[in-house]
Amino acid sequence: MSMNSTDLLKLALTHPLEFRTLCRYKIWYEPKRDITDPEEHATTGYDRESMRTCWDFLDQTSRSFAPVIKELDSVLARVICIFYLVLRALDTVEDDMTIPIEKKEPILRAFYQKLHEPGWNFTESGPEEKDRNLLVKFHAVIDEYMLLDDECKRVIADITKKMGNGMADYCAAAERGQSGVENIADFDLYCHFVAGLVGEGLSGLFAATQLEKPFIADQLELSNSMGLFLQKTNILRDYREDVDLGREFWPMSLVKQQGFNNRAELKEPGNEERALWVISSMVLDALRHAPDVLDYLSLLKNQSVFNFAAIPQVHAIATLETCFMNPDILHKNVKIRKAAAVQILMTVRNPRDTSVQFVSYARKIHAKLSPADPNFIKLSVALSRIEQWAERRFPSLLDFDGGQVLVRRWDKRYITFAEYDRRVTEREVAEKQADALAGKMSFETKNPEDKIPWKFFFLIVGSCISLFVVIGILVWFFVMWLSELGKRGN
Amino acid sequence: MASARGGKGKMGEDESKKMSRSGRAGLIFPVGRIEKHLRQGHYAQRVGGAAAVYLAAVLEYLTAEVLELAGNACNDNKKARITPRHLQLAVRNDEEIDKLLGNVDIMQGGRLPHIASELLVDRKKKKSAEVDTYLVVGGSGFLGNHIAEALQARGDTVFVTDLVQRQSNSIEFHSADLTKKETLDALLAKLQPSCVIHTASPIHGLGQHVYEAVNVTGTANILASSREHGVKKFVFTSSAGTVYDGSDLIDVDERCPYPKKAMDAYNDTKARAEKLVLDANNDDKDGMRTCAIRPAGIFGPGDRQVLAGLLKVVENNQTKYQIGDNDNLFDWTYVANVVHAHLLAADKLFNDPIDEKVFAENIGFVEATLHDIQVPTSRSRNIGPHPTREVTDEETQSALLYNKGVKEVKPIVRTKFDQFFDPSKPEAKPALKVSGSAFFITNGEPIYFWDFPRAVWRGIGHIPPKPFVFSSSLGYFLGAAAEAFAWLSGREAGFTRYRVKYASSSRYYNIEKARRVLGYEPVVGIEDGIHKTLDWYKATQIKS
Repeated sequence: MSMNSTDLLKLALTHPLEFRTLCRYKIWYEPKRDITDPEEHATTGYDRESMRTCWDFLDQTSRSFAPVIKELDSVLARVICIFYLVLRALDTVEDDMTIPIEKKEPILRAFYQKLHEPGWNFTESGPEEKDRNLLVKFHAVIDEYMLLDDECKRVIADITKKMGNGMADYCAAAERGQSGVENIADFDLYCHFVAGLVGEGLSGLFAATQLEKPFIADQLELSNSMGLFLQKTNILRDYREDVDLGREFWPMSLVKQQGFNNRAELKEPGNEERALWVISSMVLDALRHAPDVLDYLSLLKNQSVFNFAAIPQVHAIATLETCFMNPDILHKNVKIRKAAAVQILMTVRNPRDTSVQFVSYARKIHAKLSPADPNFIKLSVALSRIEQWAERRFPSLLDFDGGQVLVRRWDKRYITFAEYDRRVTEREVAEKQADALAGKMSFETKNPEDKIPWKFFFLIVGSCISLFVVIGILVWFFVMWLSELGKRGN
Repeated sequence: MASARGGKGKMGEDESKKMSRSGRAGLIFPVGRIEKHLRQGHYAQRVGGAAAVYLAAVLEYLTAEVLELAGNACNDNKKARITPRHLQLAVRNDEEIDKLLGNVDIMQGGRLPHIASELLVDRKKKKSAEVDTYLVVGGSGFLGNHIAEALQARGDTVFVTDLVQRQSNSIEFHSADLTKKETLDALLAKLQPSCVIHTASPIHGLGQHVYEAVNVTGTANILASSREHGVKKFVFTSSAGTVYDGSDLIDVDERCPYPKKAMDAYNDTKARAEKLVLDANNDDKDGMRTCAIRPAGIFGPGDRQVLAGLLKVVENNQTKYQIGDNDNLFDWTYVANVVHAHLLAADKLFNDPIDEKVFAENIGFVEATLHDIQVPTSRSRNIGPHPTREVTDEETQSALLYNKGVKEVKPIVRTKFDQFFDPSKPEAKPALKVSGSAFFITNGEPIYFWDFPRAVWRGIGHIPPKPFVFSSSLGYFLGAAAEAFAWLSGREAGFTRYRVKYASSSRYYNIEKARRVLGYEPVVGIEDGIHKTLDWYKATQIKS
């Protein structure tokens, strides 16, 4: 969140509310966890040279993920750090254009096996690759990987294998000009390999570290949707950057629908309106994952896992809102406002807040929706699904304002639930009465007088009396004995 | 014939030495000849003496067996001569011989008649449903006509009754007046229908006495008449408005009670009629079973109410106004979906109550407009590009699963307020059978209120301009002012507080009960529905 002072001043004058949010963040927000703390070393491994290297790599390779990963509970922070670095290394090999395909393909396919070869590293990355250092010192990651427990190792190796094979296939196909993303099914499959698998892996690790219930590892569709929602948003936002680099991800079927022959034509002057309709179909495609995302998030139990999973998703829908009907994304990199990002970071703490945020962004998207849009009704249906989801799980009948739950009595449903409550209460009262009646007949001890501890009272009094009697007898004998002595002495 | 002689020869001592080996073994088949063939065939270096006898016995037995079965088949078909057809029937109907002669074709044998058991069961069931003859009351109306045509299209016997014939189709029409029971009695006595679908209802905006007469008295008449004439099934077209009292309806389900004070005479009389129908349900073996379908906002080809209202707004050049923030969801229902629900209700009125255990699975959203994506996973996905390697078996399996559209079971979390929350609490349990129940029927795709009119306007080529939004409170004020002005000037107000309320409140329903119990899924999505309606509208416009 770096901003220079003139920017801040400008913000304070133009958007005072956002300025307040940023100030609040600067003053109040502090990371939940310090991984360098000696008390945490048992789970963070910060006392080991190799793990310190890994944490440093995490900071270097990802500015957005590093802070959230470090806030995860117990051993999970370290596990996900390793998982991230492994995938990052794999990605670096894949992106490197200086490695010939004959060499790249076998490395990608066998990358998961390298995890079990202590000391393995890769020094042939191009000099331009910004993360080449990670591969040069990859033995540190392998050393730390070997220290993980078996289930975590299995998940990481499995995902690395699947992703490595997928990447190798796509690289080989690209070499032959066959990797085109023609339709939405192709797009989904590509996103599955680069992002959906990450979702599957993360769910597997949440379960393996026992911070979440085991069934989450088996929810593959929901896990994939988490990855696909983020990936599709990024692909939408990065249009210009990707087109300039010759990377082509947008499905051709959506592009052709508006009469374009290739993706680069969208940015040409004069094509703006039709380009907006392509953008809206991309937004629609991404939004279809939103109910799955909300479903997944409401299955999570651990707070740190929830924050880790939910915050990027809310950022994603905020990004969709920014990109929707926004021709700027054809020309430059568009980002959500810093204050909005900070606001999300500070407020998203539970599924209800998340769904509130989703609904509010859905309504903002809807406010921009034009009847001229070819996807007009489809988008309305997709957005209303978010509304319906929120309504089913957190009925607007209940008002959570001010830390109290109030029931809105004007709501039609109130009568239904009041009636239901009345019947439940009646039944419970009847059950209690039946119990009480039965109790009276079978147990005399259920008397309310029983509450005074008569037994204990009698015990105390009785023991006191018997003590007095014993002492009295002893004293009497003693006195008798003394008098005997006295008699003898006489 | 030699063997026959041999058989007889057993009696005489002299001849016993000359007896053939067949005769000695008591066989008809020639042992000697079989031995000759065994030796000439060089099946083995040496052939034992008993082998030919044994083989002859086996062959004779099999032949006799086939002959006997073929004879039976012949008798069954009342024929005197065994034909290859009978041989075929005999062989194929016997499991062991069929196995033995699995690779043998019998010339002129034909094929064995075979019908898969699933089909047989279906046919039986269908037959009992086919027995139903339908009477659609109000069958000249918008919805009634669609229902009658759908019944005819699926091959059912259907009659239509209404005040006057307004449709031009081949369905048998009978005129009857709902308010006069004797006309109904005469009609039912003549037609003897087993299922009555009662769709008759006057349009909006008439006087209270009309609603009272048709909706309440008329429904009571047709109910009584149906019961007296042995009708088994009675499906009533109610309205989602039966629970409307002017306040927001947000995701309400069938537990919602009728309002104490109804919105207007139409909704009030509809609610009373529905109550009559549901109270008349009789679950006994010979009783008449009833249920009610409550559609919300029906539109479609043939409808003149919804469409006419929306087109008038364009004529008046008022499409640029918007009351409220347009954050309120609203339900609409394409007519084919309402028809579908009626037919399902008629077909399932006699079904057993539903087992609630299946409700633990997430049913998901209605997918009629947004065909739900199949999310690829590492368990179920397409194969994708693979230029340098072979496809593995695992991948083929996973692609098969993916393309079949097999989805994972997703968990469902129900709140205390959900109608299917905790089935162990009997208080929360709605009636989970068709008979005696009412069902909300919508497209299951509520959309923001102003989006439906705008989609229709766009469909006729008028893209509305960026709206001029005024808040609902201002709308109320203006509505009141317009009403006052209309009252003073003695004209009918076009803009009223009721309309403001209508446009700025939420009205959408939870149709999970219909989806679970009726098995209802919308067949036409809302977008396709709008297209179809406008196609019809354009076609009729050109004609007239």
